[in-house]
Amino acid sequence: MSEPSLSPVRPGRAELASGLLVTALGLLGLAASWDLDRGVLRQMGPGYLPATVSWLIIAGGAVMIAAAMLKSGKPLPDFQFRPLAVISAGIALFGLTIDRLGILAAIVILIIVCGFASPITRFRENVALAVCLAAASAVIFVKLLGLAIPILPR
Amino acid sequence: MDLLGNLAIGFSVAASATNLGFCLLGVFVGTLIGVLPGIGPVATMAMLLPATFHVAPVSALIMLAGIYYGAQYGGSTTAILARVPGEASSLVTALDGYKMALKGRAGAALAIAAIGSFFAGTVSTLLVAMFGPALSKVALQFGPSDYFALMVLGLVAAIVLASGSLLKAVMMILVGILLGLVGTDPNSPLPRMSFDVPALAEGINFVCLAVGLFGLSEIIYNLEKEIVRPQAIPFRELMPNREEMKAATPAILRGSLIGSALGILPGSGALLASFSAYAIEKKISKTPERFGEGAIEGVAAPEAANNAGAQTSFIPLLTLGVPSNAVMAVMAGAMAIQGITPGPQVMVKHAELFWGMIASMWIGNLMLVILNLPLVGLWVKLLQVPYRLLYTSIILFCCIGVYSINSSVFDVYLTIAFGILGYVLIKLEFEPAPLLLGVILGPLMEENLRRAMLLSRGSLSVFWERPLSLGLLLTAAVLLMVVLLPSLRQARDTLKEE
Repeated sequence: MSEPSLSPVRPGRAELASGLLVTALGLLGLAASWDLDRGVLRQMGPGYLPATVSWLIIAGGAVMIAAAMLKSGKPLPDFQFRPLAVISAGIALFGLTIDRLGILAAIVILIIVCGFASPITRFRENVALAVCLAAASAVIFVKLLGLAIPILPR
Repeated sequence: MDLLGNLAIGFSVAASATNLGFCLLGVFVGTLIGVLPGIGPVATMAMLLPATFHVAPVSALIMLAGIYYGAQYGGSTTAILARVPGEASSLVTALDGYKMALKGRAGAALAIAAIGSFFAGTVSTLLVAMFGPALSKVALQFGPSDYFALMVLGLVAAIVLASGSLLKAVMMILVGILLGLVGTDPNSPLPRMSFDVPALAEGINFVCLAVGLFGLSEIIYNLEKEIVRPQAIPFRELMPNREEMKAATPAILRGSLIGSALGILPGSGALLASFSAYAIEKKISKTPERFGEGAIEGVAAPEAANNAGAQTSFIPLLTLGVPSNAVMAVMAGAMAIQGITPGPQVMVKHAELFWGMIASMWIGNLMLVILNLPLVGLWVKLLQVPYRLLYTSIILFCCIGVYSINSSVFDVYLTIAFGILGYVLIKLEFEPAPLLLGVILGPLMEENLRRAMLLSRGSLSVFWERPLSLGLLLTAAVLLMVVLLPSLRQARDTLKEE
């Protein structure tokens, strides 16, 4: 499994990305808990454990980055941005519209937009599906289950 | 003895019309999602958490539990008929079950899987009923340092059994703990780590986290691949013949016992149980070359094991208050929503809850056997539903479910964020399950550590002075060493690969 010592080490991009992600999360935790009172072990303040855990995460991330630099590893996996971006956008639109435009409009928008996430969707069929699901949801969730979601635009 | 009395209480609770209805709903939905690829029990349970707000605790937990073990039944149906494991634990069933289907014995395989699962469910229910109370009694003696040690052991065991890089699993747990600590610290009046966002003052919404991390990420990930619609093999008769029953019976027995034993271990549950049962059957068989070609034991044992494992994996949560896998973490979340803190006092303060759940697990198994065999045709039809119709529907349920908790749009955006995070984690080969465990256990560990340190006045020696916590921490250390030994590492990996 180990490479012959003559070939140069190509840092494993996948492991590098993992290490960077982890370190970033640790730094985020540190930032979030920066101004909290740490206290001492005997009387732990609210910031004690968050800071400790954040430092542990950062340390782990550093180890991962170091390991990635020293060993040859796997290249970055193929990230396909279309499903990720489209579905995120669709759900975000749902969030934006459900209060103002009601459940019917929001669902139709959601399903039509999410349909673009993949080439397997057939547009006209998807529109029909959107309308059906919107109607069914209005009946089931609002009328039958009594959820407090407006049906029509205000 | 007490056991019969307690079971009687349990059955009277579980057999109420409401709870029977919820049990039926749970196992039906469970089988449904077990059959459908691309959505699993964790995401489904998380999505239904908002619905549990308005329902009695017992009914909610009965339904959620039904989803979990129902999914094991559903997963085996597609595994046998179409070689597509609906659930990860049905992977081994697909090996021999599909071969049996090709030989025209699909009906027999399905019947054996159902019967085996029912038998295993009965055995494991009895085991939970017998040993649960004893475990709880032991746990009631625990002090905060013992609890902390127990949770550390639980987390270590979870990473030991996780596939993939250990370091990544540890990181996932730590990130989970960090996320779990967001919100209001019980000791101080101000929200912490919330970046002054009011919606985060109470903590990160567990449903958003679970639905995003397990549901959305899975869908996004699936859309990258080509989803091949599986073709189900038709079959005629449903009953196994004599030799099949004869060969299957001891396999079912072994599978039940193995599953029950392994299910209790933190970090596993149905998955490890079914894989191990298959491996053991193959090892002890006099004709191991039949495995992979349609050996009935290769279906009977893992199916019994995964059902037994699913049920005994409730034990650590219901008796000790420590969830042993992601599914149990969601159950813990459900209990928290109902205001019930998981722990040994559950058996004391909410006895009807504990025994009602035990009894309903058996009832649910019975429902599954009765329903699923006649309904196989329905499940087969479901397999034909194109994914392009399914995935948007699932996304819709996720959105409505999350929004309906607080009518909060922020929750929807938060779910998107966790969906993206979950997708990135999957691509970078991190396992999300330990993260969920960390979220649930983080605040609990903090509370216990704080109390332990207050009592010992800051001295860490309390952990090795008390025999109980010392023992627990040593076990955790041993587990860690065992897993770091390269030879055992390889054995673990080959088991995963098989």
